[in-house]
Amino acid sequence: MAFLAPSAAFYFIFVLLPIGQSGLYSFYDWPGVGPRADFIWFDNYIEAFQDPIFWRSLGNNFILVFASVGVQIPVGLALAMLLAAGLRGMRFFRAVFFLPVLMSTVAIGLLWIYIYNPNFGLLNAILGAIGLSNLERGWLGEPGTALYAVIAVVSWQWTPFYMILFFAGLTTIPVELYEAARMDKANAWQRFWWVTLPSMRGLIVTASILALMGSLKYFDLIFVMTEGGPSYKTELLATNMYRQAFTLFRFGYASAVAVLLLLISLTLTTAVLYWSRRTNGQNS
Amino acid sequence: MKHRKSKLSGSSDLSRRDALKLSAAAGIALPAGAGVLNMFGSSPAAAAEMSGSVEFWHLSNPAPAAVYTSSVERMRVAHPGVDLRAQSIQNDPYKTKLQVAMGADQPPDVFHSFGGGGVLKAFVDAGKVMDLTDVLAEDRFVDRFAPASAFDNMTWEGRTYAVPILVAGAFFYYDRDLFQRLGIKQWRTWDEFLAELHKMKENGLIPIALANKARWAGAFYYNYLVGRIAGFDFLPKVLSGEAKFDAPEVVRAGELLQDLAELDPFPKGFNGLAYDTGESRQLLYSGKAGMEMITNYFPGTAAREAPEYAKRIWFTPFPIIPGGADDGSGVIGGVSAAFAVSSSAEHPDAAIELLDFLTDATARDEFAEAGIVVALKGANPPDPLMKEHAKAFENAKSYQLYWDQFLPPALGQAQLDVSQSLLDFTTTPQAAADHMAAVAKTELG
Repeated sequence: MAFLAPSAAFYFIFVLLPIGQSGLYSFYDWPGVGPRADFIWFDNYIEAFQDPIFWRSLGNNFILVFASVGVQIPVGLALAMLLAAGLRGMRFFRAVFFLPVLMSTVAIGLLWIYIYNPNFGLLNAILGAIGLSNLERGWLGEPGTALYAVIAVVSWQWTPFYMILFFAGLTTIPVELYEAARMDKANAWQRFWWVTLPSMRGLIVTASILALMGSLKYFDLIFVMTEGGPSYKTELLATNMYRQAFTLFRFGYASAVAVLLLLISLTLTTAVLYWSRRTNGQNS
Repeated sequence: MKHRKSKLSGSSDLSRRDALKLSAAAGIALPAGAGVLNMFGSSPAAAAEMSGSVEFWHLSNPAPAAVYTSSVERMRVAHPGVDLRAQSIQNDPYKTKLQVAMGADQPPDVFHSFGGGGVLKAFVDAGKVMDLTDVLAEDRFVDRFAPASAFDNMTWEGRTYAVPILVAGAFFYYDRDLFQRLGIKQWRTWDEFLAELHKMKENGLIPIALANKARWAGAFYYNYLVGRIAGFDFLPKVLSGEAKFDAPEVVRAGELLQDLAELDPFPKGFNGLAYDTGESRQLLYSGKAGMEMITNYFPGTAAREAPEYAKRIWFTPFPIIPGGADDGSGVIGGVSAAFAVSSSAEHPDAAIELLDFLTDATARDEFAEAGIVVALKGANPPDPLMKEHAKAFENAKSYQLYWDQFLPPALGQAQLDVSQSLLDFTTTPQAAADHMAAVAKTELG
């Protein structure tokens, strides 16, 4: 027990205590400087529920969740299976594919801002060069494309993370299972569906939970690439919170948004864990 | 021997930074004290040796930053006992950084401010800014600044909280040779302006370079239009309750703004281009765009980034709206850099000494050399472009500071939002005016 004390203390001071403080601040109307004087009960929460930007940012977070779980995880699995297939030179590609995860998020954001630049950037230049110049867009500046342009970069950064996770999982699947399946005349798709997927199930659920949590509190690339714009089309819960606290001098309201973000994440994550435990019990 | 934890002030513990500062100050004070003991026999000047530390934050626009740095160096030479630390920070990150520092009670001692009833007033109301009224009455400061209206945006209830240095305004900057080649004529009215934009488009130029991710660049147009139509005293009238944002003049300004946007004079994806990383200036330097509405820091920036282009820069004002309340001389701008002192500065004397160095005659002449217009008396810029700027400021019958600095934060942000949305047609002029009136009602009561 004594060995837990330092970690517990660390956890208490740097995680639990600030969460409690945020909860406290959320009941005040406080600009973030000066004394905390205006106790307003739940007004901040009521305002959040009535704020269209709050709901839009929640919607954007869910779009990000679907993109993470629906794109990053399948593509990560596909890449992992490619790497595990034993083709030549795959060790090299393993390193290369993993690079985006290692890069600084801000550096990635700036890099892609230049790639997406409508006038000088690589993307529009390539589209023009191959005769698709009618597809050229102001990627980060147009309301219709901004969110998806950033999500593409988020996926580029994080898919390799899931790829490595799944690769590790794939190497633990006993070869005998595949041999048995082959003896039963199973084709490639059937081997995937009946051997690979079930063996990877636990890992896929874990990865999905990571993707879910990460997407709900995501901040980095949106902040660097669009700052939540244009016209709040790419706003996320976290960027909204940041803006309320540090640009609009509304620390109390921002704390309320933070508490709501915490509650939403907790609820969804618990639900997913509960669902996965239940269906796991049924499948084994 | 067990040491009892020292019981310093109950509510706030001595932060590590404060403790370091204290020990640094003690480290400087002790030898200084020893020096005082040696005083009998050395000059009185040694006894007046200034000590302490000053943390100075300023914006990183290259031309004025060079003069600030030179002032800092001169002070270091004159007062080697002062630990003077200067940080040069980019425009948009600076606003956040200062806010956070203020909130965390670790503000810089001397810091840049735009003045205005928005950010600076919020800090003043929270008691974070030193009242400089008495300091400014001192001999060394009393006759230094001009015009008197330069203090307007930093004085409330007769007390002044910052010292004005730079005067700026937003104008259209363009390449003189390029416009001459294409036969672009000087405009006076709005229609003439639109006609010249058409001409630029026909010649394959992007008429206006605009990087509006941070929203203030596009807001200039809205601010000017409201000023030209409703007069440059519109905002003060709104703040005092005499006027409202859902006035027909504001709606008309929104309509004209969308007329401009409909011409498609801006670069593709302009609402996502960032000014700080040069995404609009690139277009000017490479000859792809005709002009940009930006503050008069631009020639200085261009001199460093594209010296060949910088030689061809000239400027022209925002067009007149016939029938509007302003005669075309009004300028969106005003004092664009002022320096304030934090009320918790540990060595206020040293901080004020820095203000002295930042605004003295040497600094004034360096600003003039660099072609920067200042609120200091006796400046005489040698450069014809800068002389033209000085004339424009002198002739301006009215000023309106950038709205996002002048208005309380929520209103300032609201106008940034609506102007960005008007430009990409995600809102209508009436809705924009109504939104601002609604925010004003909550903010101003």
